[in-house]
Amino acid sequence: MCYRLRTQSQGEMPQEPIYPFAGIVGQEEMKLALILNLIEPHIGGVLVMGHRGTGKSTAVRALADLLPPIAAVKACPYGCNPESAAEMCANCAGRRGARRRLPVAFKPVPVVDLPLGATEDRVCGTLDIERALHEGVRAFEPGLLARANRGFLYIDEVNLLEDHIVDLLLDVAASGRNIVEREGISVSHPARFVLVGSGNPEEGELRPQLLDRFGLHARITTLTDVDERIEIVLRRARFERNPGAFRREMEPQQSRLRQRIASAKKLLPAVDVDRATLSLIGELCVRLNVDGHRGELTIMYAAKALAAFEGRRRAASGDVARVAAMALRHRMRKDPLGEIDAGVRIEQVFRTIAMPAGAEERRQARSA
Amino acid sequence: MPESPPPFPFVAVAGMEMARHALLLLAVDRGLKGVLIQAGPGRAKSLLVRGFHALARGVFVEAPAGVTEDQLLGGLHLERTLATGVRQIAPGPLARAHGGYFFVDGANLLDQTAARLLANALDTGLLRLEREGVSARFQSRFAFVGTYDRAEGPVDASLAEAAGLHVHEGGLLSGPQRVEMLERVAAYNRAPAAFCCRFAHESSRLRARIAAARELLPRVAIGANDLRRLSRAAVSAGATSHRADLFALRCAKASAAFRMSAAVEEEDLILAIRLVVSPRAAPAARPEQPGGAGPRPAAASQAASGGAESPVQPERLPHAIDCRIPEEALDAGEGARGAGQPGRRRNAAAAIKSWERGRYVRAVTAGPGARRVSIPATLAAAAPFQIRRGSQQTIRIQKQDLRYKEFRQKSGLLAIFVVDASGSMALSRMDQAKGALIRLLQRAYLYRDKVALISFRGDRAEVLLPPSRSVELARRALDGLAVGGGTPLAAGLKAALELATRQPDASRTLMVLLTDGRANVGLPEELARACAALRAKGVASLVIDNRDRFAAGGETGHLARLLAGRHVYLGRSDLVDSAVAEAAEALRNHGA
Repeated sequence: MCYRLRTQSQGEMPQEPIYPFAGIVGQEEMKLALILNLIEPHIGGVLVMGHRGTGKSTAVRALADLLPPIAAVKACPYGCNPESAAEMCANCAGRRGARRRLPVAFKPVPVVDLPLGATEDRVCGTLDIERALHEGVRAFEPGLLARANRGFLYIDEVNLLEDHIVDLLLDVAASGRNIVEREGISVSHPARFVLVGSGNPEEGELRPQLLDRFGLHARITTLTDVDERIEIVLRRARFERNPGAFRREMEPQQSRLRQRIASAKKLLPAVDVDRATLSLIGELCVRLNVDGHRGELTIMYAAKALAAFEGRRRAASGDVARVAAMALRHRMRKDPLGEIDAGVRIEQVFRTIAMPAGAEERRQARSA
Repeated sequence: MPESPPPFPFVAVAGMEMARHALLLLAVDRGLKGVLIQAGPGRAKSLLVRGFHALARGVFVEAPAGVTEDQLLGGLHLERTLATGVRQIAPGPLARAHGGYFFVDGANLLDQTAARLLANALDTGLLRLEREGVSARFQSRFAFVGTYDRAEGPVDASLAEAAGLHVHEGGLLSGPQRVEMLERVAAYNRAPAAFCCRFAHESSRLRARIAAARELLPRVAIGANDLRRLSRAAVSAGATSHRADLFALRCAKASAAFRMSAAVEEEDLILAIRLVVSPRAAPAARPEQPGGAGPRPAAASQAASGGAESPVQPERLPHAIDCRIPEEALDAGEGARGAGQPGRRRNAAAAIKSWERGRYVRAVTAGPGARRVSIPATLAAAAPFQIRRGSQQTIRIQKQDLRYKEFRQKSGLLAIFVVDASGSMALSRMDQAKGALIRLLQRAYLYRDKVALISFRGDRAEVLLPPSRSVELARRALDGLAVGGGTPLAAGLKAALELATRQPDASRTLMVLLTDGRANVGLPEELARACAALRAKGVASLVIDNRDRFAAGGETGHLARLLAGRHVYLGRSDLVDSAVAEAAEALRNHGA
């Protein structure tokens, strides 16, 4: 009699209710950064740094709710896109190549949480012990990276992430594929996801390679307005008392937001950026001494996504102004004794190049 | 076998009123998530908590402070798995505590990953297991009770944040209270059961009261103004986290419920502020620079640190990395992960590999000194061959299947900058310290180093920055520094000694002392003793005298000898940076 190792998970439990995105008070920069990534994944993810207890994890975990379900090849562990041959796993590509129809099912966009203490084998996948014991074959059991394909990977306390896992993620994020070579397994599968990280800056610095991976860096502001704080408390209390009722209460706003995002995604391919705005972006990066070109690309993608989100077909300097700080603050060469916040510097430089001299004086005269 | 005696009754414990009250509030509303009790040794902390267990009844799981992340999470239950052929998971203590209480004595001694795990479980009520071939989720809603002695270090910030109530028991018992306490302890030791009987009635009344309060809790109301007061208190205390407001609200309501009142009143608010808001207050702002020292003109500080600010770092980094590559080449089992890619694995070697201690990283085939077998990885290795090996009832494992656990330990150093803030040379010393410190920190991610800053002046030493990796905090600490006054050198060294002692491995500490060595506060014997103590601990030292070698009077050389450390005179400020970097490098290579 052969042994059959079945997975027996004890304490199987219902999904924990998720606090709705529309119910989050304040933190507009963070919310915008996340929404823009839903519209345009090319922006490259979000890093949200700030003190504890400011709603960072709450916002990220609420993302899944805002996107419509996606079409995926049924029963494919990587949720392959039936329309895109280039991004398919070997299995799906093979079946498609043989002109067989791929069965399609709809599933929610994956938002995978990288849990504390996850080991490498669970993150990238490993040998399927069951099949090995039962059938004597070396089969691959996909891990978290497989599950995150076409979705989001969220890492809380990202500045404390173990180095070897960081290396793994950097590799995969760069190539869009996860290559596994362990225990006699040799597998390569698609792993394209948007990386979202959060943490407390006081815990330590991120490695520059990891920092650069994130498209936008959103800052958390401390809410000192008592009314806003009370609103947060009251909403949280209502949610904890009766999650279902609270979610229903927020549903109209959630639904509006979902609609806006869906429309923005549809409009996005038609959004363009004129040459003047492109040179503005270039000039900004030159003056700020930004390393590499990811900064410019990110600003362009983000500005377009913002225009689409607001129903416009053209991204202009106003859009650049609103996304520049988020796109550049983590890419500037660090002034070791820097007293000026990077975001402030970005705004200053932007104002110098975006506004012609006369307009600047008039603006100052008005505000004096 | 004799039964163990009933625990000392909760209601019979003398003193510790705040701690007792906090525990009762936790029993009324477990949504407060946890109580952290800080008190010195011998204050009956654990006694109180065990008494609480007997009072509150129900699930109560205790874990030692040395518990590791592995143990907390749980994993594969080896025996049951092999016996039944079904992958059986043994839930760890955190999962077992579901619906009850989880207790750790010495909460500040938990290692960082274990503390984070605990904090995460408190926050989300969920435990996710993704390790060593096991993927599972457990419900884990519990309330945490942690006791600790602040002298041994603070509780991990995430854990402190996740627990609602913080109690600091500092007060001492009065004479009569001590007599009462002694009498009770004696009576308990003589006849525990009888002693407990004396308090049985009171205990059961308390239990009933808790139950009644729990029932009343959902109906307790708070006025809008009172709610504002709580939030305003949080804002003025600089408690940035919204958990402060949330827990304060819960605490106030629980307090009202416990008083059998359906409305929150003044005393509930005061209690909430005391137990929730005040402990989360941001550290007080630093005192302003005294008028005499004058505002630091930008030009002067530029000049002083001019040399040190030259863009040395980009050229430095490649050197540091090159030194590491040979180690990486010896790194077995890395597989085909594109070792040639730039930007990868720069600090893979910065962690010390160990076969026994540290964070579990992966399982590898045998190596010299390999000891701890990873069962799941071994099973995985043996699995594909079972049919070929003719396995029927058992899994046949051969030697080549064995896989051993490889651990990585953080190898970072602690660099303690002890800066003489006295007298007129202070400003220029400060700039040098600032430059070197910030640069060391910015490379800290490579080596996982930490930096601390101590300044001494007047009659004492002050820890401006406890061991940290944050450039932000370092900058803030340096900006707020006050200068002038006498030179209490011994006090500065003692403060450094204290910080070094709290590290798990004091010999990975580098003390960088910036001074002119002319102590004029404190006795010379004190100074000699402090130096000897630092030497005994194995702390490496570097004394930097920023006067000219010709103007100096030899005091710092003498100091360096007492510390058995390095010594350097500085004519130019840019040399501080290289001296520190070299000393750190030497310590790393020696220690690794």
